Amino acid sequence: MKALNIIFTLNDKKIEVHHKMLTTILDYTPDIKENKQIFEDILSINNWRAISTIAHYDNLSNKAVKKLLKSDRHGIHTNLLRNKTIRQRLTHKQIINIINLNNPIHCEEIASNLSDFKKANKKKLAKILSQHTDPYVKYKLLLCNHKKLSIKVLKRLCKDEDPAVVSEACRYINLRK
Amino acid sequence: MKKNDIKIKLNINGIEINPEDGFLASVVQNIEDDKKNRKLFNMLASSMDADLLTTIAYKRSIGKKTIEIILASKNRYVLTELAGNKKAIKKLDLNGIKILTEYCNHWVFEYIAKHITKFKQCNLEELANYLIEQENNENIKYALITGCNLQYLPKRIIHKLKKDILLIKKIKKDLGKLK
Repeated sequence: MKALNIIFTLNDKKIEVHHKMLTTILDYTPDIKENKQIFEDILSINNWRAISTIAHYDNLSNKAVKKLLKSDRHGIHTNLLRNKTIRQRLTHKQIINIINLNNPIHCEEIASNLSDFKKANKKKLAKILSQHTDPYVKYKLLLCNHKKLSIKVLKRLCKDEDPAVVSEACRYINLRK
Repeated sequence: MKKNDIKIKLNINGIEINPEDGFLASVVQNIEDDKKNRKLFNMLASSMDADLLTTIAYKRSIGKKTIEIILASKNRYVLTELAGNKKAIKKLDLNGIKILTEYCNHWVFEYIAKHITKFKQCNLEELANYLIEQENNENIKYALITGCNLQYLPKRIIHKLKKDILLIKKIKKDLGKLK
């Protein structure tokens, strides 16, 4: 584990960097390739908010993304999934792992942005998400990515418990006729 | 000194970082509010940058020099922050209070009236007179009478407030009867 060595001065006056200040520093650290190593080093410290900030950034190394995916801290997966660049980099297996965490917020993000997951089998993901217990996930899936669903899946969703899901599913079946 | 003259050096694990715009004002919020940073706050305040001044005005540990710079800004937002800094405003003299109250809401008068004896840099009678002279001063007078023990107020002020003191006593008595 690499320790974090931060030197911060204002007109040569040394400023102590505490946990809150570190988060502010990261908020204003440009999201550029040159800072990739810094983002990776941050992951070795125990500062959830700082790590959560990093998860927003585009310029993360593969190693950093893998580390972030392993994290069980609240909000980190959500931030990763809200980052389009990262969505495009996630593999099918990585997305399945996130779905298996069974957090409806993650599944909703995946359902809404299915087309961004370039390295994944979108039809398979759509099928898995269509079986989710949370109606929000199914509704978002229908609303944003109904084209990825087969007629068979749409027909199943037509018999869903939630009236809004049923209504959307039936509407898309009719559109395909 | 201008804001651009403040040199920021930031280095994480040997990599130099050029922070994005707005960094300085945000990071100053996180600088420990402690006497050891008084000089630093003064240096930052001397930039006269409104964003920085707004942040610094709320630091409890700022000294007289910094307060003077803040007052000189005559910026309503900055001065409102200063008015909320209960520790700092107690270091003001009457002129400072006049500038502060000119730019802030009426509640500042009431706060000063309520804690009048804590404003050690002011002559008590002059300050009380200044407060009483304000328009729509009912709440100010009420704060002055109820905020501190009347024995601390100069006799001439007590005399000026006699009617109000009697009125408040009567109201309190009537309220007592209601109970």
